[in-house]
Amino acid sequence: MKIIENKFIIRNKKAEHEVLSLWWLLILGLVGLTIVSAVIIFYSFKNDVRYEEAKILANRTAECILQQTNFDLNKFNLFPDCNLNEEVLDKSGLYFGNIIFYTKDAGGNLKLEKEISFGTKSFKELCDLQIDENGKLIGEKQEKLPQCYKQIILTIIPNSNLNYIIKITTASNQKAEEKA
Amino acid sequence: MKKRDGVFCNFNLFKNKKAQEGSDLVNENVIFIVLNAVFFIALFAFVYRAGSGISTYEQFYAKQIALFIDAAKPGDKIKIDISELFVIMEKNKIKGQPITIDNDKKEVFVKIAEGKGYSYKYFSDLKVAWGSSDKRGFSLEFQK
Repeated sequence: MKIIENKFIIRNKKAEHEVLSLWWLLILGLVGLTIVSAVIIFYSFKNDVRYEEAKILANRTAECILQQTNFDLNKFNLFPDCNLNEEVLDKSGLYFGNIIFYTKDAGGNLKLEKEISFGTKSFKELCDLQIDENGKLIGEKQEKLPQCYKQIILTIIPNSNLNYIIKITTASNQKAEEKA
Repeated sequence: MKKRDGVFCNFNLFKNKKAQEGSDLVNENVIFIVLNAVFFIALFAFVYRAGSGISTYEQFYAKQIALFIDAAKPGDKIKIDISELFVIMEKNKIKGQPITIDNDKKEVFVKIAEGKGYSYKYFSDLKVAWGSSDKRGFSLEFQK
C-alpha cells in the first residue's frame, strides 16, 4: 500500500542569521536614553531651587531699596548699591529682573518714574504667563519654564518725600552644571 | 551509493563553507554579547552613581551654599555641617576639599567622588571667605 503524503516543499530557501543590526542598536539606544532621562529627572526634581533663588533676589533688591539713605532715583544704581554682581545677573542668561518705580499723581493714577531691567528679557513674558500681578500662580507650576517671583511694595523711601509703589519681578532659570 | 564530486556533493567544499559560516556566527555572537555587556555595565554604573546619592549630594550642597551666599549680608558668618560629605569622600577614597568657592567666577563647586562635580552660580557681589578646618564644618564669612 502506497501512502502518498502531500507535502509543500519550498526549495532553494535561504535563512539569514542576523545578529548585529541597526534596529537592535536603535532599540538599545532608546532604552538607554529612557533610563538615563528617567533617573536624571527623578533625582533632580527635589533639587529645584529656582523659585527660592528668584525670591531671594527680589527680597534682597527690596531690602536694599528700602534701606537706602538719601535715596535719589536718578542716581540709584542697582548693582553697586545693592552688592549684586552685574556679570552674573545681566550677562549669564540665567536670570531676569524688572523693578518699576511708580508714584501716584493727584488723580490717583500711577505714574511711571523709572524702570530697571536686567538679564534675559524674554523671561518677562514667561513670568506673566505663570504669575499674576499679585504674585499668585496661574494654573499649575510649569517646571520647564523659568521660575518667577513678583512683589509689590508701597513705601515712602526715607529722605525722598515721595510715596513710591515698587513692582519687582525676578526670575531664575539656573540649573546645576556638571563640571570636571 | 557512490559519492560523486559535484556542486552539491563536493563534501570538502561543503565542509569549509560550513566551518566558515560557523566561525562568522561565533564572531558575530561574541561581538553582540560584548557590546551588550558594555552597554549594560555603563548603564548600571550610571544608575548606581545616581542612586548612591553622590550627584544628589553634590547638587544639593552646591545649590544650598549658593543660596546662603545670595541671601547673606556684609558681616554675616555661617557655619554648615558637611560631615556627611567627608564620609562619602572617605568611602570613595577621595582626598581634599569637597567644596570650593570661586569669588571671580561667582560659583560654588562641589565634588565628592571621581569624575565630575556640580557647580552653581551665585549673584551676590560680596567677598566670600570660606574654609573647612575640621572634617565637619564649612565656614563662610561675607565682606563688602
